[in-house]
Amino acid sequence: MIEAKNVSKSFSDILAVDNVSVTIREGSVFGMIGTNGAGKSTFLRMVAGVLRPDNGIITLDDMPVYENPTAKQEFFYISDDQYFFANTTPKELMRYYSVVYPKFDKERMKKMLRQFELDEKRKVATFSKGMKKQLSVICGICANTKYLFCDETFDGLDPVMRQAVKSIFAQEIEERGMTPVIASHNLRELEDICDHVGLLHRGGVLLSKDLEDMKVNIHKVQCAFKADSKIEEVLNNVDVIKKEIRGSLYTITARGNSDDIRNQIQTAGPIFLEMLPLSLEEIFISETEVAGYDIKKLIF
Amino acid sequence: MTSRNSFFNLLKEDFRRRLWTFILSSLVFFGTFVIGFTMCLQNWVSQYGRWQLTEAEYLDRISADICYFLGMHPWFTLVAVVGAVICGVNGFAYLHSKKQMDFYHSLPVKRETIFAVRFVNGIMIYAIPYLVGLLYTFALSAVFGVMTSKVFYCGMFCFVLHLMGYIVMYLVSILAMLLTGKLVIAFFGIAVLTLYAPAVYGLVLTLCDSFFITLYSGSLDFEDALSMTRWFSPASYYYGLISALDQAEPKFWLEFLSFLLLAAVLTALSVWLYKKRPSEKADTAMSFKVTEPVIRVMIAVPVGILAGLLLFALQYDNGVDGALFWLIFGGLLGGFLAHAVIEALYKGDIRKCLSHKIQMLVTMVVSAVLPLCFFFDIFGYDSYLPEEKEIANMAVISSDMRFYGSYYKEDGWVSATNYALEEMKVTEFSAMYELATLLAEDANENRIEKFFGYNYTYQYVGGEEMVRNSEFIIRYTLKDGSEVIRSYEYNYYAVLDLLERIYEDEEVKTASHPIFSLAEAGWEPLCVACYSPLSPFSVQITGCEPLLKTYMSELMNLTFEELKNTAAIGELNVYFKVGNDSSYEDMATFLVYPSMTETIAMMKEHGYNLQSVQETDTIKSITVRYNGTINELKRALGMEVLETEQEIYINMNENSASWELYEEKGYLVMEEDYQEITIEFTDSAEIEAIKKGLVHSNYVGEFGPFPLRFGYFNAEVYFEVDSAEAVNGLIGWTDTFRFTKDGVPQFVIDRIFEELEAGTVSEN
Repeated sequence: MIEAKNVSKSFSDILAVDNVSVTIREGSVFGMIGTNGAGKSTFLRMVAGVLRPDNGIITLDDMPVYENPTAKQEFFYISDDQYFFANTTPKELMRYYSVVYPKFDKERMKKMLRQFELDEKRKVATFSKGMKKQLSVICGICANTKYLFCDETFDGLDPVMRQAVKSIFAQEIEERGMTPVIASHNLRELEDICDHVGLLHRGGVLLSKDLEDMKVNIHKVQCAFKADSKIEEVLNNVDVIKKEIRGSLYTITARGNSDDIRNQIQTAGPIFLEMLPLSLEEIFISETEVAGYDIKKLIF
Repeated sequence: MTSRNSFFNLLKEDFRRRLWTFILSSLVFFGTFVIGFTMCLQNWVSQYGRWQLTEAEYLDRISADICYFLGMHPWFTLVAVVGAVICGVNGFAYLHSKKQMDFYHSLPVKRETIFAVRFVNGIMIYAIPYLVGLLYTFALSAVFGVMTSKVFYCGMFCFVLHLMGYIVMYLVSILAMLLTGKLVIAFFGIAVLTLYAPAVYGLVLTLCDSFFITLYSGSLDFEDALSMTRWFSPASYYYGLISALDQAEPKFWLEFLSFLLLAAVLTALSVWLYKKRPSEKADTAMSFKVTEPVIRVMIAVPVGILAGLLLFALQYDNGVDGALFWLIFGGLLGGFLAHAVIEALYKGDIRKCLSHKIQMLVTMVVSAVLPLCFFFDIFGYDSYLPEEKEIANMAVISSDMRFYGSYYKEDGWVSATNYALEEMKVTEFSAMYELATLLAEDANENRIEKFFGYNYTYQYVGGEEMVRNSEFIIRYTLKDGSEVIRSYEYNYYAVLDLLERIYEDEEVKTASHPIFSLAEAGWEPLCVACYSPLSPFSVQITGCEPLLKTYMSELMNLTFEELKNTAAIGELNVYFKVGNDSSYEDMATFLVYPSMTETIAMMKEHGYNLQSVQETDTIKSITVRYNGTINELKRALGMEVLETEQEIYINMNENSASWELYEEKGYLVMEEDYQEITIEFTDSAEIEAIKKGLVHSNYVGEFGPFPLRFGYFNAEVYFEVDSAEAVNGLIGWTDTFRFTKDGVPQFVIDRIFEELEAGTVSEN
């Protein structure tokens, strides 16, 4: 488990991370969402032991991370602009990482390079941006670390590759309980992979929740009513977050138990009623609005 | 914790990354040893093989050449310095890249380990090719049969020394990389860390040299300056190491221990800074905010002072007010500009160049005020006079009583002045102290006038008698063992009595004439060459001890009065062995005066007839020259100048400062024409009259002691001998003479005035 307690970091007079406390459990995929400058990368660089927090402490399995090689052997950090040695090849990288990471799996790396059709003898400098991202992920996976920190790693991957990487993540989580920590400014990228999402805004954590918990409590209902319906009165008994009306068609997002919401609306005699699935984006809109923020201004 | 195996693997990996520097280093040493040394060795073997040398001499000469090649050659120093900077910058460039910092500092490797890996590899990159090249030189020397223990010892010794120099420069480069976050700034950092201390020391010396009128220039020794700053500068440290090559072994071990200490301190400092250095400082000018103002002020203040000094030097001729204004303005401007540039570099934004306004103001004020402290001598340097009871012994040298030439002492060659300064240790110094008191008081009272050279031009105002400014160097050896040297300028005529009292002391005589010290030190004179400027040939005398003994006796009896009124007429050039090296000889020159009759007689016995110009009858013509103005000459001769109290005639060539001085004093400055008068005298009676007052130019002024002379006329004397007396076919030659103080015949003066009368006078 990774635990950040009251962590802050400033660069000169800019407060990049402000008193953040987050817990990242093992075996889940932690997504970190935020706009550019929200503090995601800074936070991740602190978690990776690159930066020393000004205040607070970050522990990994109860070990302080900063300047602790034992703790650092448990994660692999892929930065938003990963560094590769000058004139290096995947093969040389493999040799280097195997010196640094004791559990680095060279055979697996060779296999994955073949799967991703990356030539192990080709100069990395000649790779495209997406290929470099793939190579970083492959190195990260083959390091066989407990945690994998990815900073905007999916940015630049084509949908097929993104899906492939997600599959590999799923497989790693399944097989050896790997915990990916993914920072992204794009909610849609994390939608189908994260179990837990933390939202960073202006250096602070706006919210940090399990996706399932969020989904259980928020629902979207599409329904239609006759003109004399008492729907508006009925809705007073429902915790409506958002309501859209197009003629007789209502689209209602409400907080609460799914059956309770359905039963309440049924009392207004709908011509038609259907429970719709919520996107991560919609869940976030709802959650952040509660906190008094307009999520559209924060992320989209 | 990193295991040893893992450390070596990391070393190997890092070495791969830095292969190009290793290849570059290998190429340099390949060129140096495999090409350079091979060619040199071939030349030496071929050259010395042709000489008639014994086996031992042959090996000795080649070993000496190999040793010079392997250590003393400046190429090795250059390679070490440039190599250290390249390896330091290349090895730690990742500190300036955010991408690389993210990469390296997220790895499960301790920062000390990353540092150690980089550090060790940087040394290997230099040391391995050097060592391989050195082994090649040993092997090649063995093949040529010239491999001696001296070559081996010398090669290894130089290797260690250059490696030490390299490591120190390498650590300084690493420090610069650690303290900065941008490559350009790092290069500035390397320059500052390397040269700052000597540069500041040089600036302080310049301030002292510029503003202290009693500073003795002979004490501004470059090596002394370096030795004082060596612990603050790797450049001077390295210089010290190379100097140790010439030193005895204990000195080397001292150097070696000091190196270990310095290297340990620099390494510890680097590791500490590395651990403290925040990773986010990549791509920012300075890594540690606390160093920003310190470094800025440390650079900006000296730059400001230097700017003030430059402007001051340009406006020096405009007198005290003009020059002082520029000294202050330059300091303010230089301090401001340096602050602004450094601040812009720090911030990476020219618009932020005026940040920290209070610090900027302090910098400007310090830059302007500090030189003023030197200018107005608030340190009391020029008024320094120790209490009589504090002094153990003293020395006084006057530019009009010093001898010329260089003399060999235990640690090298010294000028006659320095020789006398070192040898003269007068313990009964009442006359010297009296002179010192007079000079110190004068220096204190007339500092500014002397500084701007007003004393020189002021001497004629109001028809004062002629002044002859002479330099007086005074050395005090204090009872606490310290030495203080001051140099004063003062009217020589005004202190003749004191000088006579000083010179009559035997200790002073002994120290003033190096022959006494050389004799005391047990020199072995080989031969004496007698020489006179009146004759184009000389005679060499072997078995010269009796002659020198007589000379020394007569020299000791030479009175101040004789020295004051007569000039030397010839010289004895004594050749003698120096040190234990039988092949090395020195030549020392000693002057012969007309009163040394026994010496002159002995020279004659050996076939050399030393004559004064007064005695010779071979003069065919004398050409007298005068360069100056009519009133200048009148003043020099003590004649009345037709100046009113409000008018003054001055030479067109005088500097503007003196014009201003006269104008300030209310004079109407009249400009006079500068004339060049040349008159040839061929009449034998006139020649007889003129030659009575002549002294050879070699034996007056800067080249000889004492004789009071009339410095306004030159005499070019043409000598001609019969063809039977010609030497190597030479029958005629010209030589330059001066006149003694009262030695110019009146008819010569009259003729000069006649010619000058044609000159013009115009109002300024």
